[in-house]
Amino acid sequence: MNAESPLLRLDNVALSIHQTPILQDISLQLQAGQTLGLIGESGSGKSMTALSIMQLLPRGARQTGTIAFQGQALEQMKEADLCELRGSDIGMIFQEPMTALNPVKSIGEQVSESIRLHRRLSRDEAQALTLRTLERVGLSNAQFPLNRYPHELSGGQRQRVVIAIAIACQPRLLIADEPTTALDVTTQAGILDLLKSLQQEEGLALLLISHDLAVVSNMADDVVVMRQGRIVEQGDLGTVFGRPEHAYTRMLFEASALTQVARTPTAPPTSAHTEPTLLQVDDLVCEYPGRRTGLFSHAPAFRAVNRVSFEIRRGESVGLVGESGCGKSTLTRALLGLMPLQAGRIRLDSEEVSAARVVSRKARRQMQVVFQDPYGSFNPRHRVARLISEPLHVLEAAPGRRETLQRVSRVLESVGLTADDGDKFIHEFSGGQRQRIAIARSLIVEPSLIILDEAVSALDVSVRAQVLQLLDTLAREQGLAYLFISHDLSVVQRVSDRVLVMQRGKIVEQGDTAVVFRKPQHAYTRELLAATPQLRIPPA
Amino acid sequence: MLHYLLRRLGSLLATLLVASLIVFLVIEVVPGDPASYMLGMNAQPDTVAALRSELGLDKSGPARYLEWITGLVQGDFGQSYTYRTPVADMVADRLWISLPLALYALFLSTALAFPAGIWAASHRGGPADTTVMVLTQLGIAVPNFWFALLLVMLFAVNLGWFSAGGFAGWEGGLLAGLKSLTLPAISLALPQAAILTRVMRSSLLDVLGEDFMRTARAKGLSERQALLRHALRNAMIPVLTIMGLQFSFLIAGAIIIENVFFLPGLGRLIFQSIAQRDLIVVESVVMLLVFAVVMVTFLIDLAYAWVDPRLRQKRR
Repeated sequence: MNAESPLLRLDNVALSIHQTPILQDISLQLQAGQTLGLIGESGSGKSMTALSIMQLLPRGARQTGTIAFQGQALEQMKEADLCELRGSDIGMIFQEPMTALNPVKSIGEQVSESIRLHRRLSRDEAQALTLRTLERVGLSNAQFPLNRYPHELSGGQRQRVVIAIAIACQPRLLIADEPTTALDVTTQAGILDLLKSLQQEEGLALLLISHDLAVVSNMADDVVVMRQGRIVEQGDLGTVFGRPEHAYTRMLFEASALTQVARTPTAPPTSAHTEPTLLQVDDLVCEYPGRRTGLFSHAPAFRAVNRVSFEIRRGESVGLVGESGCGKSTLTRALLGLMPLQAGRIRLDSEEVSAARVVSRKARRQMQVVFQDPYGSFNPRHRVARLISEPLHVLEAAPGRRETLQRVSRVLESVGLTADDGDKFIHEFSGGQRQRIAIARSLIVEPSLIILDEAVSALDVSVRAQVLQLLDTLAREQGLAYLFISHDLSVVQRVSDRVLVMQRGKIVEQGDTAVVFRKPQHAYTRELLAATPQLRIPPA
Repeated sequence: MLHYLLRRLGSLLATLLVASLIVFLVIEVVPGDPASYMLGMNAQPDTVAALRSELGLDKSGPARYLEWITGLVQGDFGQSYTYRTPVADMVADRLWISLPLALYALFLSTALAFPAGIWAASHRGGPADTTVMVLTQLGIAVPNFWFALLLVMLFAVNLGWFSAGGFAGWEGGLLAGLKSLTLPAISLALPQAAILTRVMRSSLLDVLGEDFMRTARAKGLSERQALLRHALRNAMIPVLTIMGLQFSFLIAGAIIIENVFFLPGLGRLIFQSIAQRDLIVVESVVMLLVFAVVMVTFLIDLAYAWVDPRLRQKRR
């Protein structure tokens, strides 16, 4: 193969599934040893492009155009030859490491299966190669023997196993479909470093699919921007990121927290400190009972939240950051009264809510929550008006039908929807609209504090920007306080006045957002900030 | 693994103990005195009383329970009220028919259901799938005794390959015994196979949609290899559950089929004993069935652990 002919070349590729067009007119190429970043929002066709290259399309799919790998048209190859190619010359890594591995097979079996499928090796040789491959992705045999099962590994470790499967046979092309989206920032940094070093060592070509512009800017040589199944812009990284031509690309940049939309402070910082305290948490401890080890003995309890203290003032937006497993969700559950406290005190508006066995109606009214999943947190059989009016039960005197309808219309309009939307079902709305409905549901009882538990994590950047803008407006108009929980530092940086950094159940640092992000004091905060990918734009 | 085993074993013993108590209590409160039933309507009260004391029915409840349960543990099931023979011998005779019949039927149903379920799942929505679904619908809807009659007419009456009923006994050799159990086993197996096929198919379809199946294909496995190596084992948990339930049912639930084929099995024994108020036989057979169900559940639990490593390991 000469130097000019690309390793992978797509010419006018179009794809339809059951006559619904999915991809149109996709043309791109990737040279050996290069990284091509494929960016776009959900539904833009990124993953389908990857699956077309793998020729692993769902039933009812019809592809036209040519996909040439090493000069061979893939769509004309026989299935048996494609099987030879997959896993051997083309490897693929998927987004969800928690489900990408077979739960009933050990990691050794899963890696060596790929090797034994493509290489004529004895069992011992395959085993030795498996060991070496796992070592290369950072899973030493001493710590992670081959007989470990996926459920015994963390998300990042599982993703390393998935990478090991993909690179075991030294492929020429590696397709990584959102390889770090489901991972924490520090884990993400580790995986991206690994991919980079593998690429340098092996000279393999990398097709990196991501919605995260910062990740792509740190990895890619060339970039393709996709929208609604079409390529809207492509070129080398410097050109596309430095001087985006298409309006959509520019919108993506604006919507990503990269071009910082300055947050309008709900009140000047000085006066924020004089506002009365709304939520006061003192020395909170939450534990999960240990595993039963004998008939009457238990392992020591796991302390998920360890002597946590903080306060939120009226109208203040407080961010809570930390990696998965640090105790963020347990803390949320404790605040909402969904979990018993082992020690400590929670006061809301000077009233102690943690003393009573059942959280009072007043406290429930004052504190509302919006969850991460805009798809799973609604009953699909109820109309939106009913979904939104449900929290009204916590009021001492629930309003009558007329008043309820009025309130529903009011909150729907305040989140940018119309009163008529109350008659629709939840499946008629997009992810962003659903999250607006979730916010409307929390607003209907006129709370003073809304806990947003990863509330924008599942949304695309452009939709996320709109929802964040909405939250900002609501805070200003209604004097709402937020506890904004997220693993995404850029989002927290944008929306919060103050930030709490949580590690292993403890709050290790807290302070004004600007100060903490500029001069982090605790080593863990510095580590988190360093791991967060920053947008780099090399000269065109 | 040992920990898991011991825990399962402990709960098995506890279940048996509780079950024995319930079986005893329930059968004790059933109306009808065996002694007066055996002696007929016109029996003299003192004759009945004599028989009651001979059968041990005049003792207190707890004493009889203790006697019964210690007997059971030692393999002594007591004497049948009606036939005055040891219950253990009666049960053993019947078990030699019922147990092989159940195993035979389970084997047939598994041998039919696994390939059919896999075939249907891997050809989802196609003619193969539709055919399997229609046939299984028929298998579930049509009663098994009617199947049994059809089988008798075809294979026994017209073709003369099998006898229409009765049991040749194991003395004539394994093949002769199995031959006389073949038609009953098929009639028992068909509806079970239909259910098992459907469970297999839907369980496989669930697994085929999982992310790790995509990983398997991306490794270079063909659709068929991915299904057999990765999907099948993951799909086994619901299938094993149904197989366990089916085996328990097959041991005792064959009353109608035993009647159609004149097989002296456990089902017929329990039916006759209830009619004759032979309480001690009923108690013993019911207890034996409870034991079988609990044992099967235990084995299925072990099979779960074998299939799924998440169940066999202590959380770290």
